[in-house]
Amino acid sequence: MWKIEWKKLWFDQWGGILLLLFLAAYAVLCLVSGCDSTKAITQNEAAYLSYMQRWQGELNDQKVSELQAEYDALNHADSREAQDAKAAFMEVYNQYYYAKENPSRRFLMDERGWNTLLTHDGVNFLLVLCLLALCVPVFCGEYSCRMDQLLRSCRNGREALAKYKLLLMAVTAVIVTLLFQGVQFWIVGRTVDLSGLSYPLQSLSFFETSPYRLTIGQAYGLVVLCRVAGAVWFAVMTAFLSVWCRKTVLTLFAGISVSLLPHLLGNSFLKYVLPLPAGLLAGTGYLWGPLTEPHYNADYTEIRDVAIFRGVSPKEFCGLLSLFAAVLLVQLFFTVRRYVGRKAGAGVRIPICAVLLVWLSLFFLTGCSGETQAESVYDFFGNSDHGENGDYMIELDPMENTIYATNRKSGEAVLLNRSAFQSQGDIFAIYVTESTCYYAMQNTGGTGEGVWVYGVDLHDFSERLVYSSVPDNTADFWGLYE
Amino acid sequence: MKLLYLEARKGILRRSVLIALILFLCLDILKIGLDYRAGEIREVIGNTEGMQAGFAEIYDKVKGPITNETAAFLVGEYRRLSQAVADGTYSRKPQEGTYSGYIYGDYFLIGSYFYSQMSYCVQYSMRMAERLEQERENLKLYQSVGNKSMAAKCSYILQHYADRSISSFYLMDSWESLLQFDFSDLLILLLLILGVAASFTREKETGMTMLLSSSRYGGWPMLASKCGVAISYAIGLTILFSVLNLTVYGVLFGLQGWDCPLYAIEACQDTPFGGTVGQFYLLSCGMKAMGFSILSLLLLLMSACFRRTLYPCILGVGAGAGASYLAGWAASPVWWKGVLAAVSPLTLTRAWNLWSCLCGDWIGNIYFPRITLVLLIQLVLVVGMLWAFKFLLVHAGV
Repeated sequence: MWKIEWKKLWFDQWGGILLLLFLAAYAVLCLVSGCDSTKAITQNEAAYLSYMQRWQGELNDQKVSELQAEYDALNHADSREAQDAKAAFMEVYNQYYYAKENPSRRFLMDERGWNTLLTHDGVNFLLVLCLLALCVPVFCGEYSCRMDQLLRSCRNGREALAKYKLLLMAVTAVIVTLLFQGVQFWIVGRTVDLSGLSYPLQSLSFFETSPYRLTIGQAYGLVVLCRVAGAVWFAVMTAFLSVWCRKTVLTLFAGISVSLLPHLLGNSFLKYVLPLPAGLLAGTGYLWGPLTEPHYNADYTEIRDVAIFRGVSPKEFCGLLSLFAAVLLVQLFFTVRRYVGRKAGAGVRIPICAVLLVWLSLFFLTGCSGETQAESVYDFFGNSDHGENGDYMIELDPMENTIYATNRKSGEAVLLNRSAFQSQGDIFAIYVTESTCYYAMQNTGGTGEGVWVYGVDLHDFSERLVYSSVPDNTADFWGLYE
Repeated sequence: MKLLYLEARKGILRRSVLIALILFLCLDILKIGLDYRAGEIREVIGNTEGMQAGFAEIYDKVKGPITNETAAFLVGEYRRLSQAVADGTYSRKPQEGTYSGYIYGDYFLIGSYFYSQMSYCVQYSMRMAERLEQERENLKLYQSVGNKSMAAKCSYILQHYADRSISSFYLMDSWESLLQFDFSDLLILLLLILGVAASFTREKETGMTMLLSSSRYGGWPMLASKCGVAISYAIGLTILFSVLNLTVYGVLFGLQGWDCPLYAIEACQDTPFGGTVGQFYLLSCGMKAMGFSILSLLLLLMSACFRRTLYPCILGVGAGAGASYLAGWAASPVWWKGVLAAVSPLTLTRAWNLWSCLCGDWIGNIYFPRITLVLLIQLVLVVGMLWAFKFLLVHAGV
């Protein structure tokens, strides 16, 4: 029976091909998303990596003296190369400042890779869709062609078949989740350094307040385990919805709603305590510990840290796991019963519904609010404020944010950046060719760091955008994507 | 009409869809309520009771038509409080005669919520006149050098931005939040998948297609009724959620300011839309209805292409996510991103992005707003989908 179900899922229902397609899409998504980094590191990666190679690991006296010496040397250097190196060094130095407060639990390390893997808790939309695509037909496929009635009249077509189907879905969920995790780990590992598995978790400054005394490798293992457990639960929930709704479209609708909506309601903490798989599928937040943000007090006399993520203590985590296990077991029980055609009596149904309703109401009405904010480091480009060609002498006035072209023959000055309805930004450099004056403008409009380069035709003064590194896609997938 | 009703009975007027709709309407209210309570729409709501009372008192004094008295009151209070907190020696203890209970609290309230907004309203017409003067000079220059495309843009600006002024003062943060609120868009998308994605596959799974295709109304009339129902469903959902959102926001914040021009919202100071905020809300709802109607036709097409319900559902979610991503480029200044955004039906649900700034394109020497490009491409998309339906029907031998 196991073999038949396995073959049906992976071959007859194109499960293998679907999985490969989803994995390929996820790989592309991971590549496009990139890794957590700062501008200072991205622009001076070689310098940053060389510093890291020298000082990575636990702090000791030699490293501290070398760091101080480098700090002094860079502070007294004026060259352009030294300034670039200083930007990268300051990243390391900031980490050193953090690490020296507790050297035994905080090591120096390249945080980018592990931050990418451990500090995000958005919904993995492709994993959810893949699980639904694989799991929904397991029960609904038979309901849609009325084969379930035939099967239920067979000797092994009742409880045994339901159990095999559930096992198949659970195993599928484990395989799919591990493959997705593997793809993400592989791509992040190829992009940035993922060493430091044995370092304490608190080496990552994001985990400063985490109550767990784990290594980074153990923490990642725990997150993967959570996600696997969440995926198994999600598969079981899909089975549960399948046997109750009996319709593919309803099951898919309910599955998507259950997996997406907890990410949107309330704050990011809510999903971790709701008795739904969304928290375990995200996984990382259970290890975070309380996160805070500075806020003024009521009379604006001092700044206090306000909790924006309450954190889940190890005891609470165990309690939640027990609750989740209980819900999972209840779902398994009712899935099998419903599939074989037995209905729960009112004495069972009403208390369960009441408990779930009370639980949901409690968590909708409690919690804390706010969001984390990413730190940004700004760099400055080299200045070029003058240019000329056969017809014009062109000057950039960075104070006025204007570019004037003075005609060599007539002496007439023409303003080149004329539009009163252009994006807001500071012009910091110009480059002039015989036909065009290009100017680079740093975005100050608040849509994200980046540069626009505009070209002004010096014959008819038309202006066009020739390059943009400003992140201009405002899609946040209705708040699901951070 | 009978066919329409029968189709609606099959896909939409079902218990499961109606229950999901009611649940999602409740979720929508809950989401707005939670955002409201957390101070995400109006920050002062998340502040102390004293601050809220102070806010209400000041707002009552200054809202309404802008007069010399209201402007002078705000300027006077701002100057007085700025001087009081300038040297840092002000009292940190509760004070009698203050709005919020504290001197700094008053300074914070006036500075953050009222003074800058009032100065924006008062100075808007003057600043816009200066910018238009610049555009007039630009027009002369471009005409003198024969640059017709840039001259066309200048003419468009001069035509759409002339004679602007803001005569009333209202805090527009609630309108700004309502116009950008897109949680209900996700709920509508999910409900569309639930109601439309199985329109054809349901019949294929039960073997009813053969029966239907042999009947008199099984060809074009059936297809037309399915399309009609899908479009009506999308429009109905959009209206329902739009009315609900407006009602909830109205209950929480009031609807004051609906007759202010859209550019009274500071984030929309460069909008080419000359109508009021209320008119813009109607426009954005109409655009949403159009976008979701086209998306529902796309879901219907997917349903017609597959034999099993699973695939149009999964593809529908994928298409929704992809369309949402492309719609993120709705106001991008990069031309190819603009074209990609115009391909996405969900770009029509982003009226805010399309209209809050001057966002346009050229074809030759003609300058037109981005929305025109979006509508043109969506029209082509609809014609393409109808052609695809015809191809599928012919292929199925109907």
